[in-house]
Amino acid sequence: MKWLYLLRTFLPTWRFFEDISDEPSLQFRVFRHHQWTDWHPVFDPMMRSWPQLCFNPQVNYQLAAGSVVQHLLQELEDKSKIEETAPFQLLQKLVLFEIVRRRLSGTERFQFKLQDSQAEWMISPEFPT
Amino acid sequence: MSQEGTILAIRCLAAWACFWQSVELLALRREYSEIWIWPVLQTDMKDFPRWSQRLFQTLFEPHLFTAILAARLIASVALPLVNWPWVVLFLLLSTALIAVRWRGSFNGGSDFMTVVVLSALTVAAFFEDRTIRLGCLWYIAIQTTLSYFIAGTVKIGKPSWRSGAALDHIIRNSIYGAPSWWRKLSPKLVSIASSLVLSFELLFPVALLSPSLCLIFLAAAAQFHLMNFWFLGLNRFVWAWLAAYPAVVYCSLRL
Repeated sequence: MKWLYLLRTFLPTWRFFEDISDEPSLQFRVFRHHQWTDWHPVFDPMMRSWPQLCFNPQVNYQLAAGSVVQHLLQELEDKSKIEETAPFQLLQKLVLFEIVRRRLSGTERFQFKLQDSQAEWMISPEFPT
Repeated sequence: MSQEGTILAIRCLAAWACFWQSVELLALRREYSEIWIWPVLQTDMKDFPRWSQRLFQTLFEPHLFTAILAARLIASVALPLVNWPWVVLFLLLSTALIAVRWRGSFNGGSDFMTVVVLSALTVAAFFEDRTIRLGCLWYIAIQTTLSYFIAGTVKIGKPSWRSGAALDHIIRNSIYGAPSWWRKLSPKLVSIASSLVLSFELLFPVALLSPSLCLIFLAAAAQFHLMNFWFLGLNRFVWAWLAAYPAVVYCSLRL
């Protein structure tokens, strides 16, 4: 019955209020010009404005990405083959999408990780771009 | 406030919410066409019957999914103008489809409240019986009341919410980061702000007891959602909850 979570929009949830621990941030680095770059956050900080009250796609996209990160953290608790899970594969696609959007020329490979102020939660293998 | 007028008000506000939801998703078509794609999503559906896998594979094909979102946009424009039950049913089903594409929910609570409102509107559209429609309005009003009250009861049990630390943490770690004036607030003021949120949420059921109290609480609720938008970027919550308020007013007049 694991698929039931696909219908969770029909059920209310208050997990948001359970704790106030640090949310791990999604970071990436790329291999270009024969060396790895430093780790960078996948998402840049957003600016708020009143028109976003109606139209706010990029913030909602980032919130949806945050939800994928939460799902991956749950999978980390009970899965050994994390790379076969949908949240991992979604984050892989998402990070590659953001690298392409940044037009980082000469990029050959990339890696991503989840890290908070205390620890590194997960680091991916290297993937070709 | 008549039953028909209340339902029409909900239809107009739900249409507004669905319109902007659809426009936002259409603006994200590159993202969902390249990230939330079938080869990844099917790993969740390995145990589904083959016919349903084929159905979702077809529905999630980028061009068809974009066409469905465009149809949802048109349906949201039509919702206040025509009383065709199939329009609201389509909005409900497309909301569910969007939720499945984003593995259960695109935007958390706002999707849930959209489903609550559209479910009630769908039943009210298919059945003209006044008692059934009254049940639909009560369904929305009770779900709205519970959404605040249960959030309040969950928070009041947490020391971090009672002290204000949780509120401060959430605002500082939001997508926008905390505004500079928030960072300057003393812990005492943050604690007062958190207490106001908790009090509002826990006392919200009182809104159903009288129309004047209801208007006061709904004004506070609208303010609460505007703050959530400003601090956390939760714009969809504003419109999804606003669509439910006419039902709360209607039910407060009948208690």
